[in-house]
Amino acid sequence: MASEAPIIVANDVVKTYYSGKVRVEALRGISLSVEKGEMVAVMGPSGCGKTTLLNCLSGLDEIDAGSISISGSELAKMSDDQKTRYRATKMGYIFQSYNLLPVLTARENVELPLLVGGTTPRTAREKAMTALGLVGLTEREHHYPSELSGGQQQRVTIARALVNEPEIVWGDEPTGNLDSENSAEIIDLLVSLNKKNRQTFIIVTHADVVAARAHRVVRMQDGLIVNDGRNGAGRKAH
Amino acid sequence: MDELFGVPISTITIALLVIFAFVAFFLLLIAARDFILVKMAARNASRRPARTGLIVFGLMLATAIISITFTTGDSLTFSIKKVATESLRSLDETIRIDDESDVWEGKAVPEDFPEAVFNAIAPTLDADPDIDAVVPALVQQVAVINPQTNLFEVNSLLTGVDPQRAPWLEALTDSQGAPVDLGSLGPNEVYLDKDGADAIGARPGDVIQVALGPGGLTGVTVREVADGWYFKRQGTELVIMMPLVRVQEALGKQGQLSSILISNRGDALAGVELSQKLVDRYGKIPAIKDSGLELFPLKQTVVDDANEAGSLFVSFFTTFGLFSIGVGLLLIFLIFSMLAAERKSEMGMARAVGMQRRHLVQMFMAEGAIYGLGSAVIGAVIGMGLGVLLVKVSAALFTDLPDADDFTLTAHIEASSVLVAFLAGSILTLVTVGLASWRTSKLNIVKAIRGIPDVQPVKAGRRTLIFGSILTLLGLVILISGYNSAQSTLFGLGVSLVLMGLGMVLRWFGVLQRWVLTIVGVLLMVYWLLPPSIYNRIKEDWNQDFSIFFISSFLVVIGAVLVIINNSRITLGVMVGTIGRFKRLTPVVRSAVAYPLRFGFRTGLSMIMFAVVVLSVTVMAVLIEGFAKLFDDQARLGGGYQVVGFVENDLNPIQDLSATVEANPDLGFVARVDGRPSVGTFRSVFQSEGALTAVNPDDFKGVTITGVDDDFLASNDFGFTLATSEYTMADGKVDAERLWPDLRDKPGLAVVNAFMLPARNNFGFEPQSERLRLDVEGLFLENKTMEPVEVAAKDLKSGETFTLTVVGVLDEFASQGVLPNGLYASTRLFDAELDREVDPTQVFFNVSPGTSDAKKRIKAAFFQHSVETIDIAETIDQVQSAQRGIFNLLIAFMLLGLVVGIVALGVISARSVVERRHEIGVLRAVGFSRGMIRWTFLAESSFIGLMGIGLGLGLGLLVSVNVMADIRTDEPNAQLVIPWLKLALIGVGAYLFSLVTTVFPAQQASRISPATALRYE
Repeated sequence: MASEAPIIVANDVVKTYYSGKVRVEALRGISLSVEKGEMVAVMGPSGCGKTTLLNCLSGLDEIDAGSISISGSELAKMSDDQKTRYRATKMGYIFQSYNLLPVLTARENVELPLLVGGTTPRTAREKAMTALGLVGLTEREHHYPSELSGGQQQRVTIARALVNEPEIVWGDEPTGNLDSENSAEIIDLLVSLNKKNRQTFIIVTHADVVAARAHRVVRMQDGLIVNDGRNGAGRKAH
Repeated sequence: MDELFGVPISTITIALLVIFAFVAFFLLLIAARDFILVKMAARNASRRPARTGLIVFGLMLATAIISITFTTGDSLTFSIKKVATESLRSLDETIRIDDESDVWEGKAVPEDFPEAVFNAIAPTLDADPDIDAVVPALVQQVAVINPQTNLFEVNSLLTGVDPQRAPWLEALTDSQGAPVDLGSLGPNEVYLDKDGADAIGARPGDVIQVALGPGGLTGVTVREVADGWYFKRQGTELVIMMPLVRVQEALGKQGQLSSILISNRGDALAGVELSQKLVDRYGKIPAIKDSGLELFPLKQTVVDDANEAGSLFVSFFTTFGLFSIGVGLLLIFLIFSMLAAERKSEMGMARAVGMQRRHLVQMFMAEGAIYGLGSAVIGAVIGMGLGVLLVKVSAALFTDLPDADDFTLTAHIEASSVLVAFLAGSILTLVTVGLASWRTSKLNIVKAIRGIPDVQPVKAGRRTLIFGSILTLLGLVILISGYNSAQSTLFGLGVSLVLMGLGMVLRWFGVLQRWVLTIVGVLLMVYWLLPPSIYNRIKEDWNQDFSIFFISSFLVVIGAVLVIINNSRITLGVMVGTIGRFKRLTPVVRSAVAYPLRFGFRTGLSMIMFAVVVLSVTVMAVLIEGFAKLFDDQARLGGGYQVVGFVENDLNPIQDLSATVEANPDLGFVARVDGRPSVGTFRSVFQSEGALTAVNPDDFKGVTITGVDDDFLASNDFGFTLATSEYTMADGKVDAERLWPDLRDKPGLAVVNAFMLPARNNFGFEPQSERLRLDVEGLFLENKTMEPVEVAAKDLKSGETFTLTVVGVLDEFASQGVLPNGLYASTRLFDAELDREVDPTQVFFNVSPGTSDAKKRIKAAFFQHSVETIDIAETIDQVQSAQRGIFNLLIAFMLLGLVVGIVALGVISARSVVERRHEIGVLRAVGFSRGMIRWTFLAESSFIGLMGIGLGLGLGLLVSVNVMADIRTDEPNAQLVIPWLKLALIGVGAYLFSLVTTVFPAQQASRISPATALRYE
């Protein structure tokens, strides 16, 4: 395999925020690079900064120092509109909860990133149905989130995250609210999509079962990376 | 009503349509480009129907207020037009003497003109297809008595018209159904109109007596009673109809006419549309112009006056409605802030997956459009209904006014007004929604997704510095402009903007938000509550109008709320230390105060909504009471007289009022002073002009000049507002006891009615006038003294000119009563300067205490002189009663604004229950009963409502004290009277109504099961 440039490069990233009057140094100089097609699990105790790292790497939040580049483009040089457009067309998000808009059906939720990115409604609908098919929920296209189980909602979220064929998929505790059976199904799905589509996955998780399926585990503590390496399963990125 | 604040309604409608079309186009563009946003908006709007209903109800208030004011204005216009057209019937124009024509320059203006003029122009007018009838006429106001019933009318009209042409004008029928044929009347026979016949109890065959001159009464026989009239003036009670020739003979005016009556093609309403065309066609033809005549669009003029009255009415109500409209816009902000708070996580997630900020704005705009358009439709309809109700109540109040018999206020709705109300309401709502949406789109994605509250940074960013600097500079510019032009509203606005701008700059320097907002709030309160004595040290001659009321109310309330919200610990401490002392109440009070104060923005906005409305109503209520006391001063308003008589015609002038009273034993009840009757006479010259010799000596404008007899000068007690230093005493009061006699002893001296002077404080709604005013630089009603003002006066009847020197201004309140507008001088001046007699036009009587029915007895005694009388005390009572009713109606109208505050509380309470579900579970788990939960939520909304109402009452009283203190510098008799009962009722009523929308959420909260609530995150 020819070596490609890393898709994500972070250098000495620092992020500080205030919680009430308390100053929190969430990231204290993180340097990290991720290869295209890698599935990286980010782990660590509560409050170590892993979600903050995810938010900063994906451009949802701004950093106080350092640099982050995605596919060679530095995030700091992008305007809010450019970053938003980038998210709509090249990234996918899976959150732990509050993933879906309650007033849109499953299909409409999946269409959303395409429509706001400028795709025509017909094309968006076709792609949304394809994405729902990937996660096995085509028959639920007209259901509202309140009519879906937790696992089904998370599948719809995954479909939405993948509908725009993103380069990178960001997951923040994607199985955090699911029971073990659903969690396993979701992880299987993510791994199979990673293998099939060669998309890069960055997943923040507490769960060892999730981390075990990743190519690489990055462990954090107190705003710093304390360990970064292949996991025990040794699964390789393509 | 065809204008609003001087702008034609048609222009306003077009402008609103253009703006609405633009906004609608923008919304359609959103729908076309991103229909998903419209879908989301529609589904969000229908997500919670009860809350949507509440929102629509709250948003409709602005539209309803506009709709109410337009409906009342249209009703007034319609009613005046209806009365006028019913009175004028088919008559559209008259050709009459033009007393401003150059033909009469230097000559006496006659009252009538030769029939030859009619003969010259009749063929041309008869041939015009736009004209139905051209009828020569001679009319004269007379007094009539029916000896059979002893009933009389002094305001009757003797009408002589050409019998052949009369039916073209009106096809009248008599009580038998036969056509009225003037030509068939016998030598002494007349027709009476039905209303007039009823007024004096006359029936066919009765002989009635007509006062035609000093020679006594002339008897005529009523041939029949007709179902109408050919011509009638405003106030005419009875019409006597005869052939033209007989009236000419009776009045000794053979071959003369007073007018040519013209009826246009079409019915009574359609004909008026042709008026302007006919005036343009014939107004300047030699036959008319060279004869010193004019083609006067009589009906069109009345219609124009009706429109003007309607416009003034709408301006008046709209000004007072601005408070409610203003708080209505605040409600929009609050609602969209609450919606944004509720959907924060959804919006954050939507931003995360690629939705731009503008998409969020557009989505909220679309949702706002759904609420806004729905509420505009409902508001326009409800406003019409409330407007009709207001009109019906006003109609009942108007019947109490004197001379209200011939006027009925009828509800009427114009489609154009409904459209304007709908468009204005929609646009106001949508623009405010746009601003609110823009604000809510500025969320931090991460905090939104994770539900982390936004924390204010210690130091504000550069944008705050830039914006704060701009605001400060803008404020300085406005402040300086206000100071230079002595406009107190501008000055105050400038000061407030400077304070706010500096506050933002201080934030950039790192001063904590709490301190900045507290300081700004305190300073705003201090400025707007400054006593007038301190305010007037900044500048003495401030100009004020209603805008100061509006601006100051909002800003002083905002200042107070900023202080309360940003010092919540102190507020909490005070409340817990007082009400919370009762053990069982402590946890409820703590929660009731702590939670609202934690959400400062929504609580502050809600308090402002209540406080602004209650403040404005409080000030109004106090001012009404204060002025009511002022107007209750009969002696001041009547100048010491109890009965005033208005002379309706000059057929039989009163030669010497005192002698007439002395000679009549029936008038023994008239008071005597030094053996002479305490009476007074005015002789007003209405056809006169004046020019300010020092300002523009050639610019003559119409003005009434009233000659006052020696009797009046000796017996009246009318006071003065202002005079030259010669007549101003050390205490600032005017020495009326010197001024009135000097008017007699120094002919050429004059005083004026207070309406002749401009005022610095302009809280009135008078229409613009072309008449003469003393527009001299630096001369205002509020001045301490004045310089003499020289006026060149011209009597149009005789053509003679003379000079008057104005040295005083009559009492401001008396000027609004029985005193005619214009200039006043001694009749000795008329004797010296004019070659003609000026007949009495008004007579005054001082009657002995305990005299009953004085006005009726005087009217009867002076019947042959056609004197219509009023009793001053009775008139004051009637006017006050009607005024009080109308002002109470106005207060009720302003209280509509409380609906907004009530809706706000409902929205906040519903949101609060959802936000604190988990906490409710915790409270129940630790021992709060259902009842305590319910009381907790009720107490929270009560805290907001009561704080807002209390703030409004307190600040309103403080503002009232200042306003009355300011008024008392010019009007020492004004009193500060606080209507405690009325204010208490308003406060309690407002609070009880506010519970309407909060009881249900409180009940919902109490029913949440602890287990369910604890599972809720």
